[in-house]
Amino acid sequence: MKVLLFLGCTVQTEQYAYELSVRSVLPKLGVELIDMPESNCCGYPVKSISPMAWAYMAGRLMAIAEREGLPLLTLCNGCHLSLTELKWALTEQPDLLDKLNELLEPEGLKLEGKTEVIHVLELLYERLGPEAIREHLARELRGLRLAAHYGCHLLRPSTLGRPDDPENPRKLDELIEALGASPVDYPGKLDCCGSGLAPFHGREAMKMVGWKLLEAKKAGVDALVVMCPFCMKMLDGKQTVASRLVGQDVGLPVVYYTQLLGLAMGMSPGELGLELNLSPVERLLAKMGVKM
Amino acid sequence: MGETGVKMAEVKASYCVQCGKCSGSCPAAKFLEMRPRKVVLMYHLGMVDELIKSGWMWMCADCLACEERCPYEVGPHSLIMELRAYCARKGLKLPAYYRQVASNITKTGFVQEPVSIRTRARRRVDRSSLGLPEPKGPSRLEDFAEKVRKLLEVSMS
Ligand code: SF4
Ligand code: SF4
Repeated sequence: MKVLLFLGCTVQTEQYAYELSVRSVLPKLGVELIDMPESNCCGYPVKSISPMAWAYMAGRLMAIAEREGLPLLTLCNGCHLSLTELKWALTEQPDLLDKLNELLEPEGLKLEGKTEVIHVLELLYERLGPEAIREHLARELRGLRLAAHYGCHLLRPSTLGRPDDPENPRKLDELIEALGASPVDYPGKLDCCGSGLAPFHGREAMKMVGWKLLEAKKAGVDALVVMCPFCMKMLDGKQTVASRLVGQDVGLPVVYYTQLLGLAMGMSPGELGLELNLSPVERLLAKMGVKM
Repeated sequence: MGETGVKMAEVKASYCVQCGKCSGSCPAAKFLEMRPRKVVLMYHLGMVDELIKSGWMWMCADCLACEERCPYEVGPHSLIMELRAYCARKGLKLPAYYRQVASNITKTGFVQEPVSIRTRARRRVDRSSLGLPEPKGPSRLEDFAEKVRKLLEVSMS
């Protein structure tokens, strides 16, 4: 299948490991990635202060995807929620489509609001499926205990239709299981990474990172597996400061699911950007007998 | 959106039975004064000025747990976001984050420009050294920026 790859701000400007692993893994699973001819921020960061600025930016992305005639693949939970919510807003507010087209028309764009918006989790679970993924594995990740972190915006609010159950999500767990590893439930599974709080109350956001990681560590897992660049930025990137703030060592390997999948498909850590993770991923690699 | 948002928030706040499920679900409540249940109550009582002074709308982690779990579909999160929009419309001082984000979006189309980062071995890398293609912003950036600027104008005064 062919999809239009929308990176979004965070992946494109700093979370390069996600992009590297997506570009390495998905084509090998038969997904043709088409780079967007042009794009912009999904609008989510300004949504609360200016709903129209958000709607224009999200609508513009959808109009580009409509012109290309392809489904829009998002890597970020925030982008996925933003675009999904716009589709919902278009059905709730009948005059919004006209307002947006007034803005888009001078740019030669036209919006219908019908673009399919797919998150990587949906692509892997619904479109490909755990069974099909298993056929591409070079090795089984037997013996690994892994904690799934879905991220708030992938699950809530369920009224908009999110990729998995808001209180008992299973799809990422099943995808982990498909690699031969054991998905482990832990008390903080649905807890937030704190990234939405970080611009306003940095210290408290870092404490949220710390507590979340401690919950996973208490469950005795080898790593935490994420699917969103914001979650990664917090849970992988802020472990040193989080340890200091909660007064305990919260160090735990954190990886993108696409990195884990790539390793199971026999790819090298380099191809998957693993040297860009800031958490102690070498512990996980050592367990798998893989050299950095 | 806009005034409709305010009315909708008022109606929804009136459904609240003060059960506290929202505050019990709130991750920010563990580390800050944030109490979504109180936000809803104060909003319902018309204490908007006090709410704005409390700064609670900036203590929300945007996790949507309260929105998901409220048994009466009050949606404390939407209400909090409506308070943010209200601050913007009234020209009240917004956190510096918004100014920075708005300025970057109008300059490049994105919230920031690609940065160089360090690997675990402390080597500096960037998109080009990693072999990643140049990202493409809006084809007519000036047009895009002008529109976004106008739409944000009300909120950034
Ligand atoms: S969960 Fe809903 S009904 Fe209960 S206190 Fe919060 S807003 Fe009110
Ligand atoms: S959305 Fe905000 S107020 Fe609601 S539970 Fe999450 S952090 Fe608390």
